[in-house]
Amino acid sequence: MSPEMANQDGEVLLEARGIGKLFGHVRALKDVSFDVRAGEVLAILGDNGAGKSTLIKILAGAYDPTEGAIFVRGVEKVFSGPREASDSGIATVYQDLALVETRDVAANLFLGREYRRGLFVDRRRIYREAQQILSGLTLRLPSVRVPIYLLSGGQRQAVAIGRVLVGGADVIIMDEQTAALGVQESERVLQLVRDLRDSGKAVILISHNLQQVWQTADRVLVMHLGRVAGIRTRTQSSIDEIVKLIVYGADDSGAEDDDLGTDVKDEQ
Amino acid sequence: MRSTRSPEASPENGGAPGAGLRITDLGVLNPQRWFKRSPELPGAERAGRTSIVDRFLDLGIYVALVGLFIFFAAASPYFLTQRNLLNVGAAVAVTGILAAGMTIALIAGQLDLTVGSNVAIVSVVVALGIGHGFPTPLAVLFGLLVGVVIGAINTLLIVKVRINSIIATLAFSIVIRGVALILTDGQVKPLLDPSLQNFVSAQIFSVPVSVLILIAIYILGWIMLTFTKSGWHIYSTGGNPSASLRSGIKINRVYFGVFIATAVLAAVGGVITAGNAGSGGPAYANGAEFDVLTAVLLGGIGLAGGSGRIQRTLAGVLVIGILNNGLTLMSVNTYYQQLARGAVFVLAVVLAATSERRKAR
Repeated sequence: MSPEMANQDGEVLLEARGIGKLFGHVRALKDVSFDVRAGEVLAILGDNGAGKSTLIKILAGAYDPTEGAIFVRGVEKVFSGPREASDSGIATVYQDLALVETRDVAANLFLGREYRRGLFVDRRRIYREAQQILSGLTLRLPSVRVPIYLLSGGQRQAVAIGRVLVGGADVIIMDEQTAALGVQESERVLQLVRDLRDSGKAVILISHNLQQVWQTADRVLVMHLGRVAGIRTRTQSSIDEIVKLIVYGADDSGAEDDDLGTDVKDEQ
Repeated sequence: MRSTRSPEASPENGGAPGAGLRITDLGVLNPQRWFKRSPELPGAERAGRTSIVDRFLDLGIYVALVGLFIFFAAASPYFLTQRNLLNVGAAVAVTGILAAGMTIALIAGQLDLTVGSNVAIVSVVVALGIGHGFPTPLAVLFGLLVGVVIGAINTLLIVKVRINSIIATLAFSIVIRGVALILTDGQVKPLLDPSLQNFVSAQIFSVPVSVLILIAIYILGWIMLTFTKSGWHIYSTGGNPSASLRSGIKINRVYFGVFIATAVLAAVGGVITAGNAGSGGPAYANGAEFDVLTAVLLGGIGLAGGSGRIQRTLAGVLVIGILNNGLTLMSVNTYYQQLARGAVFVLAVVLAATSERRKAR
């Protein structure tokens, strides 16, 4: 499916309204608002320190927002931890993948969600469903009984993404997923991302590498100094425009962002 | 005017100020670690395959066990006698029970060095309890409760005060032995009622009760670790605490359960020790931690946590038991036996480190 056909009318699965975050006196985010729809890939781009990671940790339930609110399918949610976010259907594929190296693929897919039969773990069901989940992914794995430490980088990515599917998430946040991978493996991971979108999930891709995510993203949100510098539909924008947003921020934002960053710290 | 703030000043560039971070008061959840990538293997050529060396390291302990058995059977006419094999069984029972606990702790990525002094104080409490006129079962219950208390304090020190488990349990073990010395005034206290001695040395189908308890503990341990959710969570918490926590596993509860299990198993060892010796003594099981660690590491339980099989620990325990027994049967000088035990400990540590390095490649 070509990106041009991406679903612009999908249901709004996740909406952030006026998100702000202060770390003590340091402001990391101000007035961040956006939404993401079913069947869409939203790339969040920005230079180092633009606020991407803080924003992602708020969406994933790892941080509390200081201001603003998060809506999941139109209902306001307050997450007290990553588990609550994932129970609401927002799951994060962490940059470190959060895999247990010594355990096999199936145990990792069902980590913290193991099926039980009476007193015992339902191993048969776990291995069977693990097999099904992985056969749905384009990236092949030797077996669901192989420990993670024997897998390649791309295969680990597949396991981490597969785990998100086990949780039944429909908004999937991927944090700098391709940063550590070679060209070929990055392309495979981006193919997984397109597969997720085509199956009706909303995917939020965090990256500082515009070239890598440009072809996969339907819309691009650019963060600059803790604010949204702009949201563009890919087909109606250009790499040039996005780069300008990343570097300079929105044209009219310069004058009023005085309360961002170091000015408060200077008083100390 | 454009803000003069440089991007480096942002909290997300590593200088995250503590305020507002909720789950970071746990060391494992330091967000800095989230940015560390898991070690990557060189591509597909190794993917999904184990080498011959890995397989040999996997089977090594069983090979050693069978080899030693055959060697001593050939070297000493007394080795295969029923009486001697019962001696081996009785000798390994306590070490084996302690090693089962240590295995669970190591799989969870922790170490419990209180087990030796735990044995001592429990034997003392049982002896004193009987001495104060309590019936033996009640005295044994007191002993096991002491084990629970030790496990709870270990958890407190490691999870709440957040001291490294090696340091915390090493320090606390000295405290425990001190209490045992104070309680007994440094004396060995005889059991005034022989029923515990009779129970421990009783035989069912000519197998001593202490050995039956050992076998039961390993079967239960194997079932718990392999087939229950708690067991799976112990493995994953040991393998990657941060990932486990982010997957909704309550890792502090896992640690609590692990330290209680280890301490209660050590307390069971203390009760059996009291029964075997017919007394409770503050110096009993001095340095037992190292025999136990040797057995566990020989069994290939990784030092880094998250891996290992409890049945292999049992093999490690038997290797050490047979080695000690065989060297005695062959009347090897005890000084050299000490040397041999030390050498086996070093070998076990080297094996553990080697197999870990192979996994981390």
